[in-house]
Amino acid sequence: MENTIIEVKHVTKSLGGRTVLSDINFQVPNGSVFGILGPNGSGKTTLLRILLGLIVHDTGEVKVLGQNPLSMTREDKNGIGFVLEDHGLNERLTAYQNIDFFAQVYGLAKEKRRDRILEMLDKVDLSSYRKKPVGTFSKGMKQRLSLARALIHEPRILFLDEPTSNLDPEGTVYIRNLILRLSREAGITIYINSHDLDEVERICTRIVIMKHGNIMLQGAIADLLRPNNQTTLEVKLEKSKAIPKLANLLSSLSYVTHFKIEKDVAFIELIDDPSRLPLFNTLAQNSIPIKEITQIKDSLEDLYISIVKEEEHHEVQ
Amino acid sequence: MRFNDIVAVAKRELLVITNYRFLFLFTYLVSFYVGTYLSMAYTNLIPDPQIRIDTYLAFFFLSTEIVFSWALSTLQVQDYMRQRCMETILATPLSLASILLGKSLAIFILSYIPSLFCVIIVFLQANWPLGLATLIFPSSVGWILFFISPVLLFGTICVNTLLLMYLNHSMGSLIVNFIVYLLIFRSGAHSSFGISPAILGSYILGLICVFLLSYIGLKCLRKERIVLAL
Repeated sequence: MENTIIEVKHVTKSLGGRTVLSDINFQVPNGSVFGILGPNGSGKTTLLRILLGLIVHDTGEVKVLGQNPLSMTREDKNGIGFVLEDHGLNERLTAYQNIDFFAQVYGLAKEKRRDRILEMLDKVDLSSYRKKPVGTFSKGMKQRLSLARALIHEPRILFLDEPTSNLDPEGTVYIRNLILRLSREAGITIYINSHDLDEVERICTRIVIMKHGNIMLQGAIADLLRPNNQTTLEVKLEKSKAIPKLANLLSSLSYVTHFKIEKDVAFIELIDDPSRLPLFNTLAQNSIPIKEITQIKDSLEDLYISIVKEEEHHEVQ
Repeated sequence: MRFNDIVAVAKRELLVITNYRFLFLFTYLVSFYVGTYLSMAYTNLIPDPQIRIDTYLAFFFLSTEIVFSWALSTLQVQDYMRQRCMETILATPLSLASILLGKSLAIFILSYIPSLFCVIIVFLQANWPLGLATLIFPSSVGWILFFISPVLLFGTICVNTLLLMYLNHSMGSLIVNFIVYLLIFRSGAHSSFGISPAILGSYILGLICVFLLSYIGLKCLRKERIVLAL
């Protein structure tokens, strides 16, 4: 695929006799925000290390920016930015000194370096703290500084390992917005390792769910959460006497794929989203006494738990 | 491996180590005291006054720079243990050779230059008014001081840093750090009675071994090994 920025084909990796990754296959489209979800020990970090060229995979093929991460040239590596779980900043040094080291490593010319560092610090709202030692920073500030550090050389792809873990709500929102801004405005492809379902659902366009080194599910979030474009409604009735009439009515409607009535609440699955309007009209025309209608949105959490639980169930059996 | 990378790593290490201001100064004071004390104790046994002063200088230089670099390496290990930034550094375009040489260069600069400064002062004072002449035309002791010693020191620091990288700057690496310097110190102490062909030969042999060891060790070291040990 021409538009692919990361390509992982049949990758396996064993560590200490234990299979950590087993036949991993996925592609990351250019410009997307790609999330890898999975519980601890699912192989997310090992996969990230393989993509960064830190460890060698046993079999399969890995390409980042069209190159094998292990044989990348310096120029290729300059296209990659990353923030690992340990932020990688030295707390004895100032914010400026920390970023300056990485700017030198990525070969930024001396005359451009200062302006670029100040620009990046300004972007993460840390320019007034540039002379302060990183040890005095809060976790959120360190994370912002790590992002500035990772973006100093204008990479095409940004790898993030648990970018909002241990952050307060304010810090979490800030980082999320920053990631989204980077993706939209700078067109950077973002690869996120996370076990924060809410975070992934909010910012990622495509996901992979991993467990025990295997890919359990992958695809675009919109497709995964609403397979076949189905919509589910929860209809609360004012009077339970209307239940038989409603049941008859629903069974006669072609766009209702499935329904279930519990006490005075009906759960109605529609063939697609636009079918809501004819349903509302039909209910009104037949004078069904309705108290409240809510659209049930499948969350990533439901999907994730169903996959993880299903697997655990199989394991127990 | 780029020269600029080595300089960048060395600059960072220099900044980090000198940032531990009090510990850094304390390290110097202790090293200086240990160096002086050991040199005096060692050379007091020599009856000839001229040989005694020459040996004192050589031993003083050797001991201070060895103790300096040992103490600074310990400081470096302690910093890496606390900061946990090795994985981030390894994921950059830096090669292992650049990291090794940069880290070693920083320790070398911080241990060699102050030792040299101290020795030149003592040297000039001890040889006054011929101090300058003896610096320009070094005696046999001067050979050790100005030519062989820095190369040997840098080689030792490289081997030690490599071992610390192999052990991922763990607690175990502190023991290795101590043993490496103790061995160098012991061998240095035995060969500081001036330069004879046999001692010069063993110095050169030692140098070859140190650099060969660094080269082979570096060739065998993989980023994966360091990362998985984290």
